[in-house]
Amino acid sequence: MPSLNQPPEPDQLEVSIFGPGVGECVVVHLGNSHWVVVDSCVECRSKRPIALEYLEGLGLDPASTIKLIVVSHWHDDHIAGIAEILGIAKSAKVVCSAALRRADFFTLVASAERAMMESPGTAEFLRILKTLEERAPNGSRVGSVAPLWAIANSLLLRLEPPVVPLSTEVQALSPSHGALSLAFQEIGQEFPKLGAVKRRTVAQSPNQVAIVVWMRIGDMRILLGSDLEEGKSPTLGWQAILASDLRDGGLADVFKVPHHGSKNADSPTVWTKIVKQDPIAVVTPYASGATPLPTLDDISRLKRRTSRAYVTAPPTGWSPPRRSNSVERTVSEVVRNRRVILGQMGHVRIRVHTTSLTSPRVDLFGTAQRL
Amino acid sequence: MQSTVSRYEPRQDRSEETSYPSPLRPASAHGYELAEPEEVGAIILSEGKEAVSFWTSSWRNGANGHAEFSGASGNFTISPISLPVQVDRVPQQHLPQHRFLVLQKWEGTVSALKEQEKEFVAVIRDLTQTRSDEEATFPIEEIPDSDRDLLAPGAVFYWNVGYELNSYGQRKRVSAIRFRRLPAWTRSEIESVRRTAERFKGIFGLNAQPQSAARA
Amino acid sequence: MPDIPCEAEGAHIILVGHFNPSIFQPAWLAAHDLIRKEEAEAAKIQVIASEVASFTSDWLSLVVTDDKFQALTNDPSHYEPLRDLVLGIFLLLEHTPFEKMGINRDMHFRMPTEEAWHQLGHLLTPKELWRSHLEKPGMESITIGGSPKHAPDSHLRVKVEPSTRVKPCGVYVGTNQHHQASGPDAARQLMVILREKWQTSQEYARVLSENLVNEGYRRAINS
Repeated sequence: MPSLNQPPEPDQLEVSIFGPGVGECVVVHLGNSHWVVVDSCVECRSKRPIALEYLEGLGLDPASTIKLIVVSHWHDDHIAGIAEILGIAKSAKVVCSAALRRADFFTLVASAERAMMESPGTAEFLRILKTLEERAPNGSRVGSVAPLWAIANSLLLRLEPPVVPLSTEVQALSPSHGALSLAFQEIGQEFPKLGAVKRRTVAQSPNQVAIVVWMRIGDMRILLGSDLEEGKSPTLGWQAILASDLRDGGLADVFKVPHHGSKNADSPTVWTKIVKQDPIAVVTPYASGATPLPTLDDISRLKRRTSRAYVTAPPTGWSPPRRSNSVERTVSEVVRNRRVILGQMGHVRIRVHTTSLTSPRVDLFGTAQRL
Repeated sequence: MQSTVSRYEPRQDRSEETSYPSPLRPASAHGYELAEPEEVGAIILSEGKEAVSFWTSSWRNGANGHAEFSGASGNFTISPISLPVQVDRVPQQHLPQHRFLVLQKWEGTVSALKEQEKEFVAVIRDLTQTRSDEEATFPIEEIPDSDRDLLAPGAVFYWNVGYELNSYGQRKRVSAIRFRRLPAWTRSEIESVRRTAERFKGIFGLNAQPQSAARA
Repeated sequence: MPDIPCEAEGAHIILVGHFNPSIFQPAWLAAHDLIRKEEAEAAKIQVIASEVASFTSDWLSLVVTDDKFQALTNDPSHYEPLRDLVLGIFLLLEHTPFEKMGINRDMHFRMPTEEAWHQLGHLLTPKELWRSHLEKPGMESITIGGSPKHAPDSHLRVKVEPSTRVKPCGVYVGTNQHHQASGPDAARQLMVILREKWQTSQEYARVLSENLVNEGYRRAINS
């Protein structure tokens, strides 16, 4: 019986993907207690970031072990609790999409606070900015506390033995240059306008600005697809990644399927050109919205692509807890399709020794299941 | 018959002035039933004197009189002269005719509109107990007419479910949606936002060369 | 043992500073979309003058003098709209100076028996010391102050009295959470507290009031 709280050995790599129905977080052990956190979601009971809860549960100190934090994009389900992680892992490098490195995004974040109508995403991003601001000692150079602004093919982290067991590179494959100007359009729609009603920001689709993370650890490759969707032009989305000649030529052994397995993010060419045959593929669901993801069609498609597909939680959400009879009677007369969208955390954990990279072990915890 | 009511002198500690909605609290009276400050009664303006707020239920019982406040002595007197002489308004009884017994309360954010089906989808957060977020589909007709214009993705609303009780104890099950209202964006607010964004630009060196990651 | 029911309740927000009462008219609130137009039209105005403004709607009572702003509701389904109204008003009137804020809750309970009602009063204010001086001493009011755990920088006063709204055997528990700020942006600081702490404060007040009465009743019947 695999133990959730057993930490990986120093020469054991780990990719842990968490998802509670809405939200995702990936933590990666590069070896020798060097950890990377990509995105964040919170545990529904404690309301704490799962990355911190998990690492503390392993008996590790997040402050000293987290070396890199990637905020792949600013949508609510990828960012919850990340400022708390930043606050604790003070010496970790922080990476944000270059699409956010613009005044209008800061305006968006500032306007949400001023309007007292923060969505979780903008509120969290504001906390990120304030946390980074606090990191700056007095008199420090302007821009010295800025995050690393990732753009396609930028190197985020490089470590060599003996710091880590195997030569390691963490790279951003997106956003593409073409995506940067699209970001302006998406963000600009949310700007405060004189006389306009104040509302919470609702993230628009399609997502072209998320950071896709590529990790090369020795001969192993990990592809974390975030929420990147397929673009309508070769300069956007997965087409832009495929078109790049600056990418490492290896194929991914582990694939965090993008955008909750949706059709919009599916690129057959990605599965043939960037991902190994029959990889370990993990999808985090998005149990909210008119069409919860992944749909049954998405699941069928995933199962055709690999025999080792996993999902962290049921995409349809959970039945709501039963309240008093009077409440249930009234609620059932008013609404339909009521479901819990943020439930128990599901966790897919992949571990492999650096000495035998071809034999990874997959363990499932919580609501995670094999497709 | 005249009755003298002493002026209530609030203690000089720091929180007294934010505790009750009244600078005066009748301490005693002869011949009248006096109530506690939360029994909202009337606003009385006394000619030539400082306006005070005075809360009492005594008028509710139909007592006739007028009130005169003497700022100098700190007293006001009630004497049995027919209304209205110096009382501006007949006292209001603030006790509601109907009472809402809330059993469940949610705060919702509209995530999608389904105009053809005349529905909207919202993520609802439980305000009554700490429970996970839920999502539900609501018929648009549940929204009061006066709030329909506020329906849009990102709009916030409160959904209360419970009983409405009337003064006879009759109970009626109720579901009530009310959209959140905040004033529209003003010029000074937008300017404040611009200043905050500029501050962040300065801190994060937006005008300088970007600290972007090296190319792999 | 079932909980003692709360039979009436209300919440109010009180600000101490410098106000211009004549602004606070229902039509002004509706014009800025802070209340529904129908609510403004149906509001009962007691007085709108330079020294004092006061009106009520079906869920709201607003009283403003030149040094105090008071917004009240007796409808628990409108606690959040009450907070939003105050936030909205002072987003618009952002230069209005005020330095003190009370976030308050009133709850009226009905004890199951007269004996239990007396016992609760005796638990809160033991009469032994008074009996040598007074015939039939009875608790008319007691106030206890301290700092709530969730907001140690604020001051909480809890008042317990016989209820004048719920009779017979009614017990009133009123909580006043007092906040103070200073400096040129004191008002904005207090509005941030109102926005961020409103729900915790109301929940704290509710639990405190219910526990006080229920625990008091439990001890009373076991004594």
